This record gives sequence, C-alpha cells and structure tokens, in this order.
Amino acid sequence: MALRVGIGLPFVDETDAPHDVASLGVRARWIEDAGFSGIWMGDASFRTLTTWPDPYLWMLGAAAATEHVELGFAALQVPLRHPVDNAQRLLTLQALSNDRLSAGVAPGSTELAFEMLGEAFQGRFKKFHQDMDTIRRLSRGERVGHADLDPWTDFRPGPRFLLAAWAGGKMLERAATEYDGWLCSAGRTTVGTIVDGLARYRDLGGERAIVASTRCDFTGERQPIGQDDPFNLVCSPEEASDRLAWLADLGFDDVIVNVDDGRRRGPFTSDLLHDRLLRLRELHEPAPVYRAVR
Amino acid sequence: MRIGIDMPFTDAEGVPLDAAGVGEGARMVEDAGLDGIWIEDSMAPGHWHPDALQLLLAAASTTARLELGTAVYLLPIRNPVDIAHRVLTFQALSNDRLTLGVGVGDRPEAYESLDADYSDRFGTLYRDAEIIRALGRGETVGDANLMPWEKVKNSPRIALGAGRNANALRLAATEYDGWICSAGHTSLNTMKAELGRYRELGGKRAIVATIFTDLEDPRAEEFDADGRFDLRCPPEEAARRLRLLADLGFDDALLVLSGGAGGRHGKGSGCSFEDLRRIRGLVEPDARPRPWRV
Repeated sequence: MALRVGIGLPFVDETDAPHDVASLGVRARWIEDAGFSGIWMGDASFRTLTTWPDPYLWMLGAAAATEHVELGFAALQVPLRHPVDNAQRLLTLQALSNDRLSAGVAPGSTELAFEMLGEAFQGRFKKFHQDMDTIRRLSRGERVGHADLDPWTDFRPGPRFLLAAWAGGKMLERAATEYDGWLCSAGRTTVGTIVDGLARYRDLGGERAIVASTRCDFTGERQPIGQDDPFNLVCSPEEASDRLAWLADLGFDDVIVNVDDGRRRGPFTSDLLHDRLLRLRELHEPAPVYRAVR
Repeated sequence: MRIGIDMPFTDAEGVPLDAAGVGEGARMVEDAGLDGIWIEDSMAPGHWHPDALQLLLAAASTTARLELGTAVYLLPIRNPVDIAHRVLTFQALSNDRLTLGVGVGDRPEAYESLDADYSDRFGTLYRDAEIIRALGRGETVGDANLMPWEKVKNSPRIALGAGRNANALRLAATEYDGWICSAGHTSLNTMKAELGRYRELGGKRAIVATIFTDLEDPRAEEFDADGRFDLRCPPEEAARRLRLLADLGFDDALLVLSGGAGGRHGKGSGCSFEDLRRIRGLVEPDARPRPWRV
C-alpha cells in the first residue's frame, strides 16, 4: 500500500537564528521539489521548552513558496485561541493556499500554555468540542452567536479537519466518525499501541490514518524496532526503509517525519540534513499528494 | 511624504487572491517605487475579511524593502499574549518590517463576535499594547514569557489610531511610535488641527490612512477642506491634495485604491503597474531614512 511522506517544517537555521520568509520558502520548496507529499507543523506555542512561532504565519510562509504540496497542522491546540479568531485564520490560510490546508486539531495537553493565555486547563476537552463546532459552523457560513464570518463560497465548508487522539480513548471514535482523519503521535506512544489503535480506528470506519512526530536520524543502527518503543526512524537508512514499508503494510496512509529533531532545531539546519532528506526520499517512494474529495 | 497602498485581497472579478496573487501585487507596489502595504483588520459580522497578518506575510514573501503595516489592528478584541506571539513571528519572517497600527474600531458587533468588552475598549487597548511591548522585550507578563528570538527581541513599532480623541492623541504622541488618523472619517481642516496638537505634544510620525483614491472617478467633486478628504479626482488635483498633506507635515499617506470589482469598498483589484507608477508620480519620493529595516 502506498504511504505518503510529509516533512516537518523547520524553524531555525544552522546558527539557531529563525528563518525569514525567504529562507523558510527555500526549505519549503526543497520539500516540494524532493517529491514529498506534505509540509507539516505542530503547535507547541506558549511553552518554555523552546521558542515556537505562530503556526498560521509559519505555514503561510510555506504556502507562499509552494504550489501543490499539502499543508498540515499536527496539531493545533484549538482551545488556546478564540474559536472565531481560529476560524478566520483557518479560512484565510485555506484561501491563500488554494485549499491545500489539512488542519490537525487537539485539545492541548500543556497546562502552562493555558495559563499563559488565561484559559482554563481543566475544561479544555469540553471547550475543544464546543470550539470545533463553532469553527465548523462559521466555516459553513452559519452565524454563531454574534459572529458571522461570511467566508468566500469557494472555501466553504472550511479546511479538512484531522483529530489528534490517543489510540485507546473515546477521541479515536470521534476521529473515525466526525473528522477527515486521525493523527496518531509516534513520539508519545509505542509501536504496539499504534498497531492496536489502527485496528480499532478501521473497525470504527475511520479512513485516513496518519502517524505524526516521527523522528528521523540516520546515525543509528540496523536494529528492528520493539513493540514497546516509540515508532521512529532513528536507525540506519536500510532499517528506516524497512520500517516505512512496515507502516505502509499495516495500513497507515501518511507518516509525518521530523528530520533531526523537529522540536528543537527543525530539519535542514544544514546541508547535511538536506542530504538526509533526499536520502529519505530515495528510501521510500511517496504516494501522490493528498487531495480530498468533498 | 511616503505613500502606502491598502492591499486588495481579490482580483478584478472579485475572485479571492491566493498567496501568489497577493505576492505578485505586492511586488508591483514595490517595483513601482511605493513605500508600504497596509491592511485593515475587520471582524464585522456578515462581511468576510481575511486575517490581516497572513495577507501581509504573503506580501512580505515577494518583497524586500516595503514597510508592512496594519491600519488598524483591532487589539482589544483578541488576547494580547496571542497577538504578541503573532507579531514576534511576523517580525522574524519579515525581517522587522512590520508596523503594528492599532485601534479600537467603531463597530461594537466586532467585539460581540469575540466576546470582548466594547465599553472598556480604550483601556483594554492601552493595557494590551503595553503587554505586547513587554513580551516583545522578553519580559514575563503574568504567566507568559514568549522567549523571543534575539533577532526580534525588542518592542515592535506600534502606531496608535486615534480620531478626535484628545487622550488617545496625547498617548500617540508620548507613548507610541506614530499616530494614524483616518481621512475617510474626517476632513483636511480637522486633520490639520489634530496634527498641530500632535506636534505640540512631541509626536513624531503622522500617518493619514483610508484615503479613497480613484484618479478616473467621473463623479469628481470640488475639493472641500471641511468635507471628507479623498483622491477621487483627476491626477493633477490628486497631486495638489497630497501636497496639502505633505505641506501640513504628514509623513505617510495610505491610499485605498478604488476601481475593479472586488473587495470591500470596491477597492483595488483592477490596479495595474502603470496605475501604481502614476500614483508614485503624484508626489516626490521621500528621501528620509525609513523607520523600518530595508
């Protein structure tokens, strides 16, 4: 089965300075020109681990430099921002990118981020579901309370929404029945869990299944991955090729790869990492770019 | 006097521009020798308006020396920590070319849409501007510290939109990097009187926004210094009116180009490179050092 390979977007260059829109655009075009199917970005905003840029603006920088790759969030912490503001920004990005946006969404899991913005952490799941309902309705052109965005007809009913969910929880059912796909984190779960989760997701009728946050570093050894390990490509190139083939055979549709450590430095901080990206491309022939049929 | 252009977001037929289309228009503005692109923020129910900062970033992606500004961003309807995050990201991507014009707007419905308090809009505006400045300097505000990259670790330029409000005019002169008045809401004589007070208070940069412009308007009316100030008149008369502003001491004129089918106010979209060159020729280019990085 074909597996699409998307790449995490970088933040900083080899001197640890943030990219400007020109150098970010160069990296985005590398991804597109290398034949990968998507450019993805997480949302670890409002934490103290590292300086994290605003995901909408960063992704717009990639959109402006590319023509056909999918642009995805994996995943936006929806309750941190006002749903009307989120809807306006999602619809804008969807329009400016010519409908290439797939918005992975999540309730968020870092209490500090909520504290920074004065939002309640405890009620985040309830707020998340309410916010997503508001965003979807506004994107369809409905009025919600006093808000009425009246989006352009061509971009209703808004972007594709993917739900980030743990493999064993109730959210997986929502991903299968209410969303356009399921985002499963490789970095924060195990191989055994994602295998079980995918089977359950398929039983529930879920369609698109995406493994996100997959670390990639070809300095490791050729050693099979264990059931209790997080899925990763920190191994030899040959082993990475086997692991991607295994993921495809299992039935996942997409894998999102962070070359080097996408959280700290992002991929392509140097020519060496660019080479790794191209090597990854040689290891696995990605499936064509995702195009949703509404 | 510098000339900025209020950037359209649809083409001549009213079709939404994508990032490439916005970028192409921005490059024309730069190549025509004009000084900046400015975009209004709006959350008025029933009127689609894209996210202003994403549009500006699309303009940044194809230009190198233009100033990129908001005139004005509705600060009190959004979370200031989130806005600071966006502003710092924008500054990194645009190489410090953003001038954040801020204001309260005149539509209570925009506040209702985002559950914000219209009655305390001025107080919220001033408090939020201070929060944004402090976070930009890398300070902790409440629980928030955005750890800005060194490249953008300073207070962003913030200009205050203030019309016929003595306290706001005083603050614009003493605590902000500039003052924005709206030609669409006032007359030359009123702007002259306010500019005099602004200069007496020590104000530096003075910006006239919302100058509706159509050099081929068949309904051109005789100039009235007590009527709304616009450039809906033949080129010779437009040049004379702009000289009036320059002679008064205004630093920047922000033009909303009429013509074309699309966009709010029917603005902008059918504008050609020749049209922009003609606008450039209305007034001598400003030779002073620019307040933003080129």
